[in-house]
Amino acid sequence: MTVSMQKKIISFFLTYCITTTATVFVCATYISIFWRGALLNPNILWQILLLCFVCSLCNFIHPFQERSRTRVLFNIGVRYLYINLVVLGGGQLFRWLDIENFLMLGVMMLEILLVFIVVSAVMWRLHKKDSERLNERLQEYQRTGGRNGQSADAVDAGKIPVDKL
Amino acid sequence: MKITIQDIAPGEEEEIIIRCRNLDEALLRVIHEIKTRCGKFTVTDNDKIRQIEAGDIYYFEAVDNKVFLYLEQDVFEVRYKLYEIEAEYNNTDFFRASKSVIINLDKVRQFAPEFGGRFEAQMMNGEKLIISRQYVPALKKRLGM
Repeated sequence: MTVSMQKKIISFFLTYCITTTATVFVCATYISIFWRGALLNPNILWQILLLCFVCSLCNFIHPFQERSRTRVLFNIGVRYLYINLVVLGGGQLFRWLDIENFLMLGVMMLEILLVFIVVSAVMWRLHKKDSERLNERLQEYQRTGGRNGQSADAVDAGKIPVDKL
Repeated sequence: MKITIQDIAPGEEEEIIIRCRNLDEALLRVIHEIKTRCGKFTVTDNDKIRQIEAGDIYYFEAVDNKVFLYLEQDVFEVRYKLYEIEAEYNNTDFFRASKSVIINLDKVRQFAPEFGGRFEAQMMNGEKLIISRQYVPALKKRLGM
């Protein structure tokens, strides 16, 4: 498995964890408003886990090549639409959403937006931290003349051939 | 450390031989510096031929099947393909940042986060370049993260 693929999978599971956490909060609100006093089927827990998993798959959706900021925003829009389709479709399938009830539909869409914003904000924060760490490493790289990625020990141990330096 | 410099005949290829017991950090830094500094690009500047040291280059960019070399202020077209430059300058300060750009890490002031898992490289001359998401893992690896 390539390093790039490993990173994608780690990012996917990170998104999945954050999405599930935020969804549990949203579900608690939703149930309190629309299904107050109802006896809940334990299957709802599996449904949350399943839908969060399917929603997190949006990490792999990149219909447009991200060469410009506009295309990146298009991709984000497509992912947002995908999440809406999954959650609303899932709600209809598992019978906890009545699409003809506009108030219910509106609240659900609002909550999807809320979770989307929260997850995006957390991911952005992590990305920003990553850039801070990159900058620290860059400064070290420039100070040491580019040797912080390959140690002398690695060369001595024959891991890096001298002609590849 | 003894340093020996030998004169060579005209036309003979210049060569650096390092004789050492083991390669320490200082020596590696020297090798790295030599590899980056010795590389030269020949460009034409108003019908004059000019040699540009690799270490002075900020980045290379491919536009419409042409490759341009960017200095602090000047831009020149070079007769190389981007993949040729990438292969030749592998393991130097040059780093493939996207399908169309190779940047000199020594000329990057800082990285800033961008949408979609990308980063923006802010160069020392004020220019801003995008590091594509697919090249971010390689960048982290290059910087020892």
